[in-house]
Amino acid sequence: MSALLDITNVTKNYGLKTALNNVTFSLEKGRILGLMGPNGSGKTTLLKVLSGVQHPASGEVIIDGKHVGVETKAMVSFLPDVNPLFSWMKAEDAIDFYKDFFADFDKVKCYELLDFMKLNRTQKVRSMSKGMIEKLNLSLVFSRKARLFLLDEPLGGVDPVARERIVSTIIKTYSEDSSIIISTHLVHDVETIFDDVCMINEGEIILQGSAEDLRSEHAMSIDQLYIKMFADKI
Amino acid sequence: MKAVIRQQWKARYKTALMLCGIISLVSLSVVLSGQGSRLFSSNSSLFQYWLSIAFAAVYFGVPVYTLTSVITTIKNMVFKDTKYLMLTVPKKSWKLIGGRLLVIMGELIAYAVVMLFWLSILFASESGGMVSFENQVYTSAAVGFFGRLGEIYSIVFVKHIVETIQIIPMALIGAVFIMMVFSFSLTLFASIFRHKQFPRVLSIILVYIMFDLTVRLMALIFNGYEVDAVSSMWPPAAIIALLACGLFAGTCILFEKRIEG
Amino acid sequence: MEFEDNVPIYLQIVVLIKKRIIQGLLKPGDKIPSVRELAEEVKVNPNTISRAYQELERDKITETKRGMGTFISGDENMMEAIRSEFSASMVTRFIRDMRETGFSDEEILKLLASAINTEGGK
Repeated sequence: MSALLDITNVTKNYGLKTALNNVTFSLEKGRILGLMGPNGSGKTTLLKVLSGVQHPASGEVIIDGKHVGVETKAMVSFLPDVNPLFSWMKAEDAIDFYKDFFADFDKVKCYELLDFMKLNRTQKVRSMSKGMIEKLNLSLVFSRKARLFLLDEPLGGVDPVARERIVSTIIKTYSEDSSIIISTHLVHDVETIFDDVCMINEGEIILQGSAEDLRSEHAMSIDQLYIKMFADKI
Repeated sequence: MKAVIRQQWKARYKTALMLCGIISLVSLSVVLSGQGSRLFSSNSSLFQYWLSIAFAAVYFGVPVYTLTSVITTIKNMVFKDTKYLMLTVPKKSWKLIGGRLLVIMGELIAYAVVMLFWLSILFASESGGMVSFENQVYTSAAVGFFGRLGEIYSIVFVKHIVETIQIIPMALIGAVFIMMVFSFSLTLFASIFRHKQFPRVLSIILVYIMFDLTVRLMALIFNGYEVDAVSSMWPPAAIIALLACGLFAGTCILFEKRIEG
Repeated sequence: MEFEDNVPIYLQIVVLIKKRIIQGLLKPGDKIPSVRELAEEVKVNPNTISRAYQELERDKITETKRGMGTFISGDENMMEAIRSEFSASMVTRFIRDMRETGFSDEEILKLLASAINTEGGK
């Protein structure tokens, strides 16, 4: 049976800079993958390619048997590391937008998540703090019954309580039919929720595998392993 | 497609209402101040002068602003953070652009209706009743404001109904064409210089070149062509419409193949 | 819950469940929390919890009844076995630490006896 996500020899350049260099890996369904690497290592570019925001220069991305396009966009839910909402929107306008464009969006679940995150649905995005915007976007993204969730630094810039809520939401959303890719710096806080781990540096994968196996093999936490792998590279 | 239109309309309707309000406010002021055609005459008071400027600014500015708002659409889809929303939505880009265009057209029609309404009031409120329409100098035999108003509407909608019915689609074609020139130029720019913001100057030059080429093309095709009646403007209008379609197609193809966020 | 760095997470979950059993928080016949419930509680990947549960099942600490769920097994010996396992590892570790720090066996026994007295009984 083929994997949910298959990336083969994907290369992406920005002018002379190589953001992704021959990246190859697959992700089975029902897995949570941690994507780790320093700034500029290619994590965001990879997620942009998977979500269809960018096209690879070469290589193939197959999601649930389909090439990236309108069909895959309908089953991929992307949380970027910036706020993608229009500033004129209120929370409920954003919900309305998602409802209009994403068939797999669950409005009821979103309102529940908003309550869980203690957000006001009539509040304007313009007047929200960074943490609140992050929580709103997370709620929107997770209210979709997507096959693949892509989260780009979902924990950056939020306080520990919010972080807890976000991790809880991630676990709550987990299902055997879908997979989640989380790119993060804050390895220590979330390593226990990863099934698989992928470390990327300068556009190339330097380590990948199951989190538990790596822990056993190297006799250390993923956080410590990350430090070890990148100590001489950063 | 319905969803696209609904969302684009949601984004714009408040602005549209506000602009209609502004147009009405400025127009009403001009009407009430009794200036009419003496908008920029030398014996206006300072207040009347500023009112004239406001009037010209609004009547010129609103259409120009609306026609160029397609720039904002492309910016939102390609350059701003909202690109992460617009480019991950499972809709073909031609639908997103097309939907936005339809909403802008709707706005333009709304503004045009409001402006033409106030212009009719303005003409009707003139004392002396000297109304000039095309090449005819028309002396109104009607008496009083409502008489003159009725006269204006009967000229437009009864006496010259044939021309009116033709001018409306031609104006729409013209508007669409202008918008398509903008969107194609900017999309072309964005697809070549992929990771930079628009430098304004370059994009203005590009737009100018496109209009210039169009004018030359039209002059070439219609060399010596007599424009004697409204109906004779159809051939040029048809060519413009064709060009507009071509530019739309070009914009969409570029979006599919080359554009990325 | 804080996790140790160099022990696989799933094994630490197994230990967690065993601990709850001997603490009386989970009694024989009790239904264990669902994979998702426990995952949310301790902030661990559901697959890891599943693996831990499989381990518990294999060790016959839990048993799955078709259509009803998974329960702590009612085996008395099992309880005793876990208690012994825990006490043995804790005692062994204590003695080793004390010896490493330089205490003799007589000192260890004496210290232990007086400490229990002052700590107060149950």
